Amino acid sequence: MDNLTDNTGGTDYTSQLEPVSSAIPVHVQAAVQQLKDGYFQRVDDLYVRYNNVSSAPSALIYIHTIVDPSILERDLLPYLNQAVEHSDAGKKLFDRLKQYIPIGQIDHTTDMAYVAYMLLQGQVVLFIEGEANAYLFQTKLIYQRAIDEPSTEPSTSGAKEGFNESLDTSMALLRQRIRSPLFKNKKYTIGSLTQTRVVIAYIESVSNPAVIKEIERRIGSVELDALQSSHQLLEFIQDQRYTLFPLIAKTERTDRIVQHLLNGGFAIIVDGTSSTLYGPINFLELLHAPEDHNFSTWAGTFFRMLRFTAMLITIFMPSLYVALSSFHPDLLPTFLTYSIIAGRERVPFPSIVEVLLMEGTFELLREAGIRLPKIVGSTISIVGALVIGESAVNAGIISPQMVIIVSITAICSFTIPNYSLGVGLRLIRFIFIMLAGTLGFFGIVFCMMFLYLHLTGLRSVGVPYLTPVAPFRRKEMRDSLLRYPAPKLNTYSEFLAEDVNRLRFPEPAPTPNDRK
Amino acid sequence: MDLSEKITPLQVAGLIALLVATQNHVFAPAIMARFAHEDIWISSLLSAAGAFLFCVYAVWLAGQFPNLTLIQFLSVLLGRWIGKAIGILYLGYFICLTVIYVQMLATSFKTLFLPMTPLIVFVVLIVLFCIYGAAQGMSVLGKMSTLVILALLLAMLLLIAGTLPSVEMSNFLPIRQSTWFNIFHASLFNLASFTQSIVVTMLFAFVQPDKMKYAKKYVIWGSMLTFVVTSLLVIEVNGAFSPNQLEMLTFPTVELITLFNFGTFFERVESIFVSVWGAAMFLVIGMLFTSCLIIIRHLLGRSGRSASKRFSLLFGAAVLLLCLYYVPNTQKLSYFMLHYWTYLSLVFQVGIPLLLGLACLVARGRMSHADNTDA
Repeated sequence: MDNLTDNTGGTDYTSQLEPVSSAIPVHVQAAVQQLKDGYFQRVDDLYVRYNNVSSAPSALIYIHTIVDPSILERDLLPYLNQAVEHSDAGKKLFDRLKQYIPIGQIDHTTDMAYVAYMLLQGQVVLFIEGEANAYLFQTKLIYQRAIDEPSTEPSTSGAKEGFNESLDTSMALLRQRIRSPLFKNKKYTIGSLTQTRVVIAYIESVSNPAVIKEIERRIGSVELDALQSSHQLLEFIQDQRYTLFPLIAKTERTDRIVQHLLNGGFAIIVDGTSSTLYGPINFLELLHAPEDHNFSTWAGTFFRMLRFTAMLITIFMPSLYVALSSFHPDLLPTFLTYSIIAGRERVPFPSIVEVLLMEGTFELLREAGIRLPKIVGSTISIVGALVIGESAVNAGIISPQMVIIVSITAICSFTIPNYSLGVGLRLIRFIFIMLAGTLGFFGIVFCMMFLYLHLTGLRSVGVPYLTPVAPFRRKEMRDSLLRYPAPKLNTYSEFLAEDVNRLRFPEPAPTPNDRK
Repeated sequence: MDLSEKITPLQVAGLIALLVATQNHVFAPAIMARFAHEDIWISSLLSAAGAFLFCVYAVWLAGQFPNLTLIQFLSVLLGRWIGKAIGILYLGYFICLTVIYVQMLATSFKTLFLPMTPLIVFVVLIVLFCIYGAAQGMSVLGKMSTLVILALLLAMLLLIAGTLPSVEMSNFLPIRQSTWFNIFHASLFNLASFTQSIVVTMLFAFVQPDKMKYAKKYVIWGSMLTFVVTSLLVIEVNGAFSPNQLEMLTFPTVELITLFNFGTFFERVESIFVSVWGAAMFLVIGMLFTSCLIIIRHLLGRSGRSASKRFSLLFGAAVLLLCLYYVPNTQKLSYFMLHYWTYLSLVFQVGIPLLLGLACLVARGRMSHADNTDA
C-alpha cells in the first residue's frame, strides 16, 4: 500500500475536542464505533450509511443538519461506488477519489480527532475497510441572508452593500473590491465549543507590519470556550478594557472597510457576525462617513465640521446650561437670563435635577424605541418625547428651555456615525452634568481636561488615539477634520502605513490638462 | 514617567510655554505697581529681556546633558552626595511649585465663582487629575500641551485686543517716576515666573537625541513668544488701571477681563477666560506633579519604568495636605508668593543653575586639560 502523508494541517485539534485523538482502525465497524463512542454519544443527527455493495465495504458518516443534501445526492453518492470498487489503497485510492468525485475539496487523515472536528465543520467522512485513512468531502450547508444595506449605517451616496453573517461572503465582498495579490488574510479558529472562524485581512506593503504582528499576537492569544460575536473578540484584543471609547471600531459597511484597508489598517471578520472590526483607528476617524469623499471637498469638510460641532454639543450643552443657570448667570445676556428665570419660575427643582430628569427620560424612550417592534418603536419615541415633554412643561416639572436643550442634544447625538462612540459620549454627558451642577465651570473644565488626558493616553493597537491632533501631524490633518481634494491625499498615515514616504500617487497629481 | 517615552520638540516648547504663561499675570501686577507705579511697563520689558537671556542659558545647560534630567546630571557634575543633596533641595522646590499652582487654581475658582464650596473639593479634584496624569506619563502631557497653549495664547491675545480701548495712556505717565532700584525690584516678580523655564532641564531628557537641535530652537522661540504675550498683558493691565487701583486688586487680570465686551451679547466673559486659563493650569500642575515623581525616583536611584500607583497616591495625599495646611486661602497664597517665594525661587531658578553652568565649564576645562596632558 502506498503511504499517504497525514493532512491535518498541523492544527492542534485535541485541545478543542475531548477525548484525545487516536489512530483510525482499519475495520469500518470498529472505526465507526470508536468515533461514536469517543465523540458522538447521544448525538442523533449523526448519520452513518454503510455500503456493502462494492468490493470494499465502506461507511459514509455525516451530521445531516449541517450537510448540504444536494451536494451529497448529486456529487458524492452516485460516484462513490465507482470510485471505491477497485482494490486500490493508499495514495492510489485517494487519487481515484479525487478523479471520480466532483467535489472541490477532498482530504484525508489518520487522526480520529481531526475526523470528528471536520464532521462538525459540515464535511462527510468515508471509512473504507482495510484503510487506516479517513477521507473527507466538503459538503457544508451554508445558511446566509442576502446582501443588503446595513440598517444601522445607511448610505446616502455610497455603496449599499453590507456584510452578512457569513465569513466567506464577507471575504468575497472585500475581494471583489481589492483585486490584488497583496490583499492578505490569515485564518484563526477561536472557541473550543463554537469553533468560530476569524480572519484578519490587510494589504501587504501598505499596512504597518508591526501593527499586523501585534494584532495577530493578540488574536492568537485569545482562549475561550465560545466566540459568539465580533464585540466579544474586541473586548479581548483592545488596548484598554475600561474605557468608554471604541479603540477598535465596528462596521457593516464594505466601503468603510475597504477604505480603511487601503489606508493601511486591518479588518477582522468573525464568522456569524455581520459587524466587522477594523483598526487601528483614531478618534476623529469615528466622525467620518464614507460619503464624505462622495461630495466636494467643501461639502465633505462642512459635514465633518458639523459632526464635530454636534459631538461637542452632545457633550457640553446640558452641562453648560446647568453651570450657566446655577453658577454663572452673569455670563448670559440680560434678556436671556430673564427669559430663563421666567421659564424656571414654576419649576421646583434645581437645574441639575431638571436636566437629569429629562436626559434620563429621553434615554429611557430611546431604549424603549429600540426594543419595541420597528413601527411601534418610532411611534413611542415621537409620542413619548412630544407628550411627556409638553406635559412636563405644563405641569411645571421642567422649564421650556430644558426641552429645547435636551432635544438639540438628542438630535446632535444622532449625527455621530459610530454607534459605539455615540453611546460613550451619552454616558460621559451625565458625568459632565453632575460636575457642572456641583462645581460650575470648574467642574466642566476638570471633566474636559480629564477627558482630554484620557483620550490622549488611549491607543488603538499602539497608535495614539488622538492623532493627528495630539500628537500633532500636519499632513494627516488633510483627511481628519478637514477633507482635502482627493489629489492632495497622496500620503499615508505615519502610524498606519509601512512606509510613510511611499506615495499613493505622484505629487503633484497630474491635472486633466497635463494628461492631454 | 518612563524615560523611554519620548516627546517632540514642539511638545517640550508647549509645556514650557504653558508653565511660563499661566502664572505671572495672576498676582504679580498688583505688587509690581507697589514698587514701579507707572513704570510697570519698563519692569515688564526688562523682565522679558532678562528671561529670554536666561531661557537661552537654561537651554544650553539642559543641552549639556542630553538624556539626563536635572537630578541625574547633578550627580554627574557634582558627585553623588552633593548632587543628591542639591537634588533634594530641588525636590522641595518642585513640590513648592506644585503646591503653589494647585492653590492658585483652587483659590482662584473658589474666590471668583464658588465662594461657598470648600477648598478641599477643588484640591482633591486637581490632585486626582495629577495622579492620573502621572500614570499616563510625561509624553501624554506633552501631546496635550500643543493644543492647550494655542488656546491659552489665543485667549490672551483676544483679551489684549478686546480691552485695548480701555487703556489710558495717562496710566503710563510720567515715565521714570520710580527709581531704577524699584523698577528692577518690580521686575523680579515677573522674572520669578519667567525663569521657571529652568524646568526645561527636567524635560529635555524626554526628547529624542536627534531632535535636540529643534527642541532648543522651539523652546527658545516658544518661550520668547510667551514672554512677549504675557508681558503685553501685564502692560495692558498697567494701562487699564491706575497704579493706585492696581495695588488694591487681588486678581488684576480678572478685573481686566471685566472690561472685555463681546458686542452686546456677552456681557461678562471672565468665566470663559478663567476656564481657558484653568484648563492650562491643570496641565501645568500635572506636569509639575509628574516631575516631582520623576525626581523622587531618580533620587532613589531608580530610572526608567513608571512609578507605582500606590506611590503616586501617597505623593498626591502629601500634596493635598500641604495645600490645605500651608496656604489655605488666596491672601496667604499671594502673600507667600510675593514676599517669600519670589526671592527663594530665584535662587533655584537662576542662582543654582548659574553655579551649575560654571561647574560644567570648569569640569569641561579640566577634561580638555587632562586630554592635552595625556596627548
